[in-house]
Amino acid sequence: MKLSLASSKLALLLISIIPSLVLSTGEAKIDVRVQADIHSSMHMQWQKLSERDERYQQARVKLKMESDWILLPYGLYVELQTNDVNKMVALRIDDLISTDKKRTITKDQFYISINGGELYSAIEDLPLLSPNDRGVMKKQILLFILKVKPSNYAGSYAANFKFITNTLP
Amino acid sequence: MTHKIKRLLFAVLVTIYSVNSYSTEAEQWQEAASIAVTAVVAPYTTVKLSTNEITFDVRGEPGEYYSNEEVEVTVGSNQSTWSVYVDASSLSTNNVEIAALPSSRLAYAVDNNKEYQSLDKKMLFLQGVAAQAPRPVKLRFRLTTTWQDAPGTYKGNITFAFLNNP
Amino acid sequence: MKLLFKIALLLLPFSVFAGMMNFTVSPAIVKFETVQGSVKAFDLNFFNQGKDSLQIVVEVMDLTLDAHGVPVITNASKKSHQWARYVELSKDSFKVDASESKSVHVTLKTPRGKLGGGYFAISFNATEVASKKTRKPSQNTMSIGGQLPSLFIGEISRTGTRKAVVTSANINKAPYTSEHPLKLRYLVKNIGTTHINVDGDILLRDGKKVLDRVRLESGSGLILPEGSRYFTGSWQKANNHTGKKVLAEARFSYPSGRLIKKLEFSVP
Repeated sequence: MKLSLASSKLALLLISIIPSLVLSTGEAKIDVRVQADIHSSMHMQWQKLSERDERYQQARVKLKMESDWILLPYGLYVELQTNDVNKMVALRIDDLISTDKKRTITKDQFYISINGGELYSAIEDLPLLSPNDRGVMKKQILLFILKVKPSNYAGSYAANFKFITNTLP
Repeated sequence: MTHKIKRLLFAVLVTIYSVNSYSTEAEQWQEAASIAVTAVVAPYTTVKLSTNEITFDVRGEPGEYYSNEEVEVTVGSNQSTWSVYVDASSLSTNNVEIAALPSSRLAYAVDNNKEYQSLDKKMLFLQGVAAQAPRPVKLRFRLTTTWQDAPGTYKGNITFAFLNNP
Repeated sequence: MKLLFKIALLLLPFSVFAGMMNFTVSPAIVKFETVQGSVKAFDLNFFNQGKDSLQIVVEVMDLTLDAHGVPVITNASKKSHQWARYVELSKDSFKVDASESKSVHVTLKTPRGKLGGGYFAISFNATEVASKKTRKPSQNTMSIGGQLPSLFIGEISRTGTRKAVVTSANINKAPYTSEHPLKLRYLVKNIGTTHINVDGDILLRDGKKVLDRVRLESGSGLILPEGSRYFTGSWQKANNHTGKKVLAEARFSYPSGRLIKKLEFSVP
């Protein structure tokens, strides 16, 4: 009788202990779902450079052009960056128009040099950022060269520059 | 008169008998055996989370973005001590060509604390004792993105683990 | 004596001639199917991610792709498969502040009798909002802006024919090195009436023996009707087969179609 009672006590004691042990050795876990929507992003920043600017001078030193061409006394410093592999950026320049709107210098006379390198005609959009540049901050110095024709009139002209961002389908 | 006395005597007798009965009953019962009684109070932990999903909307340039939702955690337990850990998985897209965002990009802050802790590993953020009244704790989450992160929908999990310490 | 020719480009004062633009349009590419004579509507969301306000002018333009798959956006025309003339916009200009987004509702009235694919672009042209202090009406300026088009690639369901031909195949000049490997380039033209996505590879043989298999690269391989696209494969192991006569069998596939182009050459 006594033994059976002791057994009962032991049994009850064990029953009370075991659940605690189970909880202390295990973990209860709950998951919270996380969703992040990252959208396509494009950063474009530019700054006009005067011919006294150090960056202009660094590019000018490398530039090779004919003696009768005109290097404009200002350039453009451009920073471009994107996270999207399907994005690319090009620079488009329109025909130059005189301030009195009577004269035009067509863009086939206009050339651009990137960082003092080879000259690109402004007839076509100039690629500045390609899909291979994804994630990279591209910094470029653009110099502008005019191939003057005898038929061109002296004067003041205005130009429109446009950064064209394209998505590759 | 006699009738009244008889009634009184009867009442006294009943009373005496009742008292005697009680003491007699008590005297009649002897302790034959004793049984130990143990009341088992099962251990429990209650956990409540205010939401089961948090979202980030990264529209601008890469940088730090805060989740649209906070997670309110309320824990109650009758255990001696308990702990709550938070852990994050990496965030990945369905496109195998797009690299996943490592868990180190996620960080959390508790209540009004301005400092965010990185979730690059499992982190203990809450502890309590038994008989402590449950108090909700708010967690805010932050995601850091870079220009190398391609556009897309990234998914993962933040796991809350509750541990009872004996 | 050469005349000195001076051209002065009038510019804004130095201190203000710095700019930044950060914007995005969503969705950037819309692919859809439609039914003749039906009206199809879309919403485009323009988001200014930068710190300055932008003035936006929205235009509907023609869309083609050049031979490298780069979109070419031109003025709306009546050319076949160009649907710009059937599109209307809810607004054609607006101002958007920093960290603000605006939406534009696009409505396409699908033409009747124009079977196959139809394409157009919605071009968002952004310039910074000029402050009154910096702009003088009498002075012309060098203006800088940004353009971001959203491309629409559509098809009238089950009416397009899919057909392509290889119009040219070329090899680049030797010598070949690891930096300048042997490259085979093919020009594939879409002569069907709807757009196709083409992919392919090149099987290089010496007689019956297969020397190598090279994948043809061309991005997504999307070619619009009447358009052409370059497909290029690089063979890094050409120098291992010097002097051999190699048959390059380029195999292209697209929905419901296949092409094969064979080219024989000698590895110098």
